This record gives sequence, C-alpha cells and structure tokens, in this order.
Amino acid sequence: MSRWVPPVELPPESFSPRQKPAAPPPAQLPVSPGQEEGCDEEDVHDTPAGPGPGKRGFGPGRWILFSLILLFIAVLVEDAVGFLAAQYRLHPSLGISFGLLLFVLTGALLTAVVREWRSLRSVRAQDELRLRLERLAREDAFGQARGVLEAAGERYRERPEMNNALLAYRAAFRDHLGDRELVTLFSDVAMRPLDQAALRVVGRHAAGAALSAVLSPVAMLDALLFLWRNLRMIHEIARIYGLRPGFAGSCVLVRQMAEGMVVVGATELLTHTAADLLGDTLAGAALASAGQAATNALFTARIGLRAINQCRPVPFPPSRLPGLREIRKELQGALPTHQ
Amino acid sequence: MATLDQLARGAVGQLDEWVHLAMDRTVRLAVTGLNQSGKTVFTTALVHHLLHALDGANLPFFQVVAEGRLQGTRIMLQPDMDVPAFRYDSYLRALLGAKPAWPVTTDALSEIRLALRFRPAGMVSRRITPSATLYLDIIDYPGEWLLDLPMLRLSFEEWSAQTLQRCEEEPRLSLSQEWRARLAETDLAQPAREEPIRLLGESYTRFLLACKEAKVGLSFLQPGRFTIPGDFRGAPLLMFSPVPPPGHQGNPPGSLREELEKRFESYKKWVIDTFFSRYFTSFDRQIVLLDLLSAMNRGPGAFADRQMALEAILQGFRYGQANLLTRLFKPRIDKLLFAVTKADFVAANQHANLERLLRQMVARPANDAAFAGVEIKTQALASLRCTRTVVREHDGRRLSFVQGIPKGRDKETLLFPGEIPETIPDPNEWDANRFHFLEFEPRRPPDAETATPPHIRLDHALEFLLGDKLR
Ligand SMILES: Nc1nc2c(ncn2[C@@H]2O[C@H](COP(=O)(O)OP(=O)(O)OP(=O)(O)O)[C@@H](O)[C@H]2O)c(=O)[nH]1
Ligand SMILES: [Mg+2]
Repeated sequence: MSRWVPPVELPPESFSPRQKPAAPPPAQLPVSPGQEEGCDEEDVHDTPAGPGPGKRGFGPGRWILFSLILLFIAVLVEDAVGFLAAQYRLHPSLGISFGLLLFVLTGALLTAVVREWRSLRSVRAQDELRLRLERLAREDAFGQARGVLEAAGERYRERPEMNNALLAYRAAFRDHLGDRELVTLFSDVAMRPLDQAALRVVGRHAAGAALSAVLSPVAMLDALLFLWRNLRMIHEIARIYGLRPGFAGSCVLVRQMAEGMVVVGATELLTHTAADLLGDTLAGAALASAGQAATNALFTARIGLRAINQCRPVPFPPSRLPGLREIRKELQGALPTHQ
Repeated sequence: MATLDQLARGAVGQLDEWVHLAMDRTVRLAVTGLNQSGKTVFTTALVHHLLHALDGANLPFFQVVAEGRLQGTRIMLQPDMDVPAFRYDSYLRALLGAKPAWPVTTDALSEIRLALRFRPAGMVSRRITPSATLYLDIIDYPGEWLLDLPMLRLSFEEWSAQTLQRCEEEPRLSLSQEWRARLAETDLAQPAREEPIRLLGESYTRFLLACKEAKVGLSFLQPGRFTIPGDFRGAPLLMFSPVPPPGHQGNPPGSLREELEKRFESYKKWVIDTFFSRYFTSFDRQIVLLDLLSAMNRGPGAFADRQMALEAILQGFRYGQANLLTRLFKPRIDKLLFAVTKADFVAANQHANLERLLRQMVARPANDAAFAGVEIKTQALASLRCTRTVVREHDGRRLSFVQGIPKGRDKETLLFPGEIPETIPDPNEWDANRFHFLEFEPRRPPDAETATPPHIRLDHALEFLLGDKLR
C-alpha cells in the first residue's frame, strides 16, 4: 500500500539557470495568493475561529439577565432623579436647570453613541482573509501563507508608515518557513507600526476615561460616556487596521462593553454612597474618585486590547497577545497617583 | 474583580523580575549528539550568528534581536584554564573560506564562552540596569563519548552480554567474525598476561572501527574512547573487550577475565565518571542533535541502531528520577530541545514531516523529561544551509527538489531525495532505494539573502534555549 515517490536526481544539464526557481521575494511582489507549490484553493468558509459570543443559556437565564439590565437602568435613573431632587430641594431653579442640562446631555450622548456605532459599521468588516490566516496560524501547512500575507500587506500599500515594516518583513522572509511561522513573522514585523499606533489610542482613551470618571456627577452620564468613549476607541482602532471586528468579535466586544458599563455605573453609585458614609470629606471623595478612575481606565484598556486583537488582519500568536503592560506608560500618566 | 486581579498579577510579575535580576545570568548549554550529528557545525554557526546578530535580518525569531535589544556579543576568556578553546575561527575559516570545507571530526573536548549584552525588556530591570550581560558556555566533544554514558549503570558481565547479543545480528555478525574467533581461542581462565589482552583489545577496536565506517554507519559502539581515545591513548584502560559469561569456570582471581573486568571498572571510574561529572553536571539547557536523514539513508538496521543508542543515552539523562545518575545530572536542565539537523537535505515542505518523525523517535525520553517538569520542544534545523528548494515537474508530478553541490563533486545537482514519511516506516516497507539523501558541500546558495550564511531555524532554537534569559 505504500505509494511513495522514488528518489530522482536530475543531471545538471536538465535545469537551465534562466528558469528561475523558487526565488526569494523581490522587493515588490504582485499579489499572488497561492502562487506557491501545493496551494490548492481550499474552502475557507468554515466556522469563524474567534471566540464565540459567549453563549448565555436560553430560557430563565436570559430572563434573569434581561431583568438585571432593566434593574440596573432603573437604578441609574433613580440615581439621576435622586441627584435632581437633591438639587431641587436646595433651590427649585437649580433643580430645573440641572434637569434640563441632564436631559440635553443624555440626548447628546445617545446621539453620539448611535453615530459612533454607525460610522464603525462603515469600516469594512473582518473578512475571509483573516479567517484564512487564523486557520493557517493553527495548522502545520506549507506554501499557502505567503500569498495570503502578501495580499494582507497589499492593503497597506498606501500607508507610508507601513513601508519600512513591510520591507522588513520581506527581508526576513525565507522560503523554508512554514505557514504558521510566516504568519507569526508577519504579525511580529509587518504589523508593528499599526500595533503601536493602536496601543497609543487605547492608552489615550483609557486615560480619558479616568478623567471623565472624576468629572461626571451622575452614574447614568458616566455609563453613557463610557459607552461612547469605547465605541469611539474601537472605531479608531478599526480605522488604523482598516478592518472592523467580524460578527463573533463584535459580540465579544459588546459583551465586554456591557460588563464595563455595569461596573462603571455601579462604582459611581457606590462612590456616592461611600461619600455619604464618609461624610463629604475631601480625603474620602478623593479616594473614592481615584478608585473609580482606575476602574474606568482599566476597563477601557481591556476593551481596547481586545478590539486590537479583533481588528487585526492577522491574529496574534497566543504568546504575543499584548497586555496592560504594553500601555502602562500612557496609563501611568493618566491615573491619579496617591502615596 | 478584574482590577484587583490585574494589579495583583502586575505585582507578582515585578517580583519575578527582581528575582530574575538577582540571579547570576550564566547559561551552560549542552550540545548533545552522536558522532557526525552536526555538533561542531551547530556550535560554530551559533557563535557566528550571535557575533553578527546586528548585521542583518538573519535571526527574526530570536526576540532579543528582533526587538532591537541586543547590543552586541563577544567571545570571552574561558572560565576553565585547563580546557582547550573551541577553535571557532579556524572552523569558520574552513566553512566560509575560498574552498569551503566541513570541520574534521572532533577528537577532543573544547569550550567557548560568549557574553551577550542586551537591554532588559522588563520595566523594573530596565530601571535598575540599562544593560545586562548573559554569559553563554558551550562545550564541544566527540559524539562517540556520549555512548559511554549508558555503560555507567552496567556491570562488566551485563555489558558483555548486551554487546555480544548485538553481535548476533547483521551487520555486526559478519563484522565481528575476527574478534569473536579470537575470543573463542583465548582461554579466559589463564593467568592475566599483557599480550593476549592486547590482542583481544586490538581486535575488538578493529571491529568497532569497521562498524563505524561510513557505509555501515552504526552508532551504538561502546566504549566510545576506543574509537576516539582523546588523552587516554595507549593506557591499559583502553585495552579490554567484552567476554562471554564465565559458565562453570567462574572468575578465578588473577585470571585474564578478572583483569579485563578490572579494566572495565577503571574505565568507568577514570574515564566516564570523571568526564561526565566534570562537564555534564552544571548544564542549564540542552539541545539534542539528531542526524535522522543519514540514518534513514543507511536503511532500517542503522536507523534502529541509532534510535537504540539515542534512547540509551537519554535514559542517562533521566530528569528528576532517583537513580544513580541523578547524582551526576542534578536535574538542573529546565529546557530540552530535540532537533533534527541537516534539514537542508530535503525541501522545505518536508520539514513538517521531519519534525513529526522526530517527535515519534523521542516520544519516550521526551515524556520522561516533561514529567519531571522540563520544557520540551522538537524542531528541524540546518546550521548551515547548503541547498535551496526548487519545484519542478517530473514524470507528471510536481516535486520539490533540493539544489546544491553534493559532497565530493563540483557541479550542482537537482535532487528529489524521496518523501519523508509521516511515521517511521516499518522494515518491510523500507525499500533499499526509497531514500537517497546526499551530503552537500558547504557552499552558500548563490541567491542567499543575507551577508551572514543562511541557516534554517537556528533562530527558533536560540529563542527556545536562551530567549527567557534575555528578557
Ligand atoms: N547540509 C548540511 N550538512 C551538515 C550541517 N551540519 C552538519 N552537516 C554535515 O554533518 C557533518 C558532521 O558535522 P559535525 O558538526 O562535524 O558533527 P559532529 O557532531 O561535531 O561530529 P563529531 O565531532 O564526529 O562527533 C559535516 O561534515 C557535514 O557534512 C548542515 O547544517 N547542513
Ligand atoms: Mg565535532
């Protein structure tokens, strides 16, 4: 049953040097997916590889979740109403003007959220290319990744900041590298400028989130601001990579944002309570708001890092997932330090 | 909550870094491999690429270089005064000279120490030391000596029995004829005299040398010093031979048999124990080089012999098990890399199968080591790539050929050496002309991309073996 191919040795005359063999990549390569040997066009339309949208149980679990969300919103509204009532008790005109202001702000923020969401949808969604690369990164194949990666690099040809990185990738290319190794190399070398830019964006937004937590007096506004800021951040990241997360990736991000909103809203509520309990001392307030800023910043940072992973045309090799460490510098400047 | 968790994890990470900093950064790398497995070429290439790491993009998978944190490498004075220096420059000159040549087979131990200067990646370390140094010690020695290791556990009788048993099969059966004839005509119970012992010993040595000949290519040849004596040349302890079991004669005191046994025991004590306890106790990292392809070339017999030799050796490295040998090998080694060398004998698309074969071959020792908490990796590599892959139609098939100058010729050839199977073929599937791997001259391919000589996955090996020490 063994059907092996017997060894062959061809005499020197049989290969003319002008018949160019599997050459090293020239500086500029045409897009040529699958030019390599053994590249059969395989079906790539199988299941997306990203983590699924975290299946929640149907039935009672869903209802509980749903009512929890409602409860949470109700508490947020109640907190806002409480705030207004307190102002009203101080002076009716104070209450009314705060009420108006809050109303306008909420409306504006909601519009901003919707707009941000829409414009995010306008960026092209993660596509087949990414699915293919995800798969190549998992398998032991040979000869297929080169073309796919060239196509991925081709997308950034118009981006001057990518020139050097793409050249560096081509310089490091070797024809003996297997597909998984090539994907890793591309991810490490070619994507570096985009990753750096995206990490800067995350750091900036994390810092901003910390600041707005300190400023906003009402939990509802805080939660909305958080949502808006995160959508904006994801949008910016998507623009950097020229791709937005696909369906699975979006689900993960939406879930994380919901989680973040709850925590951010809840900490704000707790902060109010804490301030009440501690009495309105300056120290108490400072401490509470510092904690809140840190929470806001960390949640934003986490969502940002996740978004980077979802927007990249090439998945990160598991060992190279960026963590908070990578944006520590930006964060350190942003978080209020207290010895 | 996530926040606390993250803060805690950050704190632990920093603590880790402190501990790491406090430790002395020296790595002793054991380059292990049977004879002709490519140890000398590997060591030379490794040193060369480290010395020239800053010259070009030739080590993209070695993180410290890829991240631009390596500041330079130098050859240092070696720590041990009484050990010969590894002749890096003369090997290199030979390999890259006008008439490139492979190094001659190693006949003595030598040592080299490198210093790698780098910028630490961690926040804490960077603040304390803007640049750190890692010292890397490597020793090179004849692969034959490694086979002495399994002898340590055996008595003279056990060892004799095993050796004689191996001689009951071809090709040893016919090669050992002369020696066995002499053994049969020697009266082992006679009082010990130098001459019959010398005759026996010389005959046995001739047998070992015949087994080692390139066309036979056996590996399991003990004692290792009989073929490469080093500085024991001519000493009585290199003059003995395995003997058949004593039977009714017993082992009378003062007999020839007793003298042979005494020499065997002194060999164990003065040669093996000294060598291994001196050089092999302090290793931190180990790479085991295997020349799978030449073994496959020589057919199932030589292949099985090599696998047996490998397992016997690696049993000696039984990481973390309490046997006699843990005294010698305090299980300090925490990373172990198995590498098939000379991967450039085959086209690049066959490397995955080559690695699969390797994994099967070393499954048992790898398991033992992993169980003892040692981190394991397997890979294919070529220290000096001498061929390139060319895809051609042949007989209606698309085949991946290698193109290079075979050893002893002066013209390039296109070779399809046969397909590497996914599993070790069993002997009856192993047709005599299924594989035809050729050795190549160390000639760099004309289209090599970089100034430094091309290699295959040397950077992966470096990253696995040293990467974590360069963070
Ligand atoms: N094509 C190719 N051949 C290699 C490579 N490395 C080693 N070889 C071949 O393997 C032979 C042995 O290499 P050495 O490095 O001398 O082997 P060694 O393990 O030091 O051998 P001993 O000193 O005898 O134990 C060389 O003469 C080459 O023919 C490689 O990367 N590519
Ligand atoms: Mg050698």
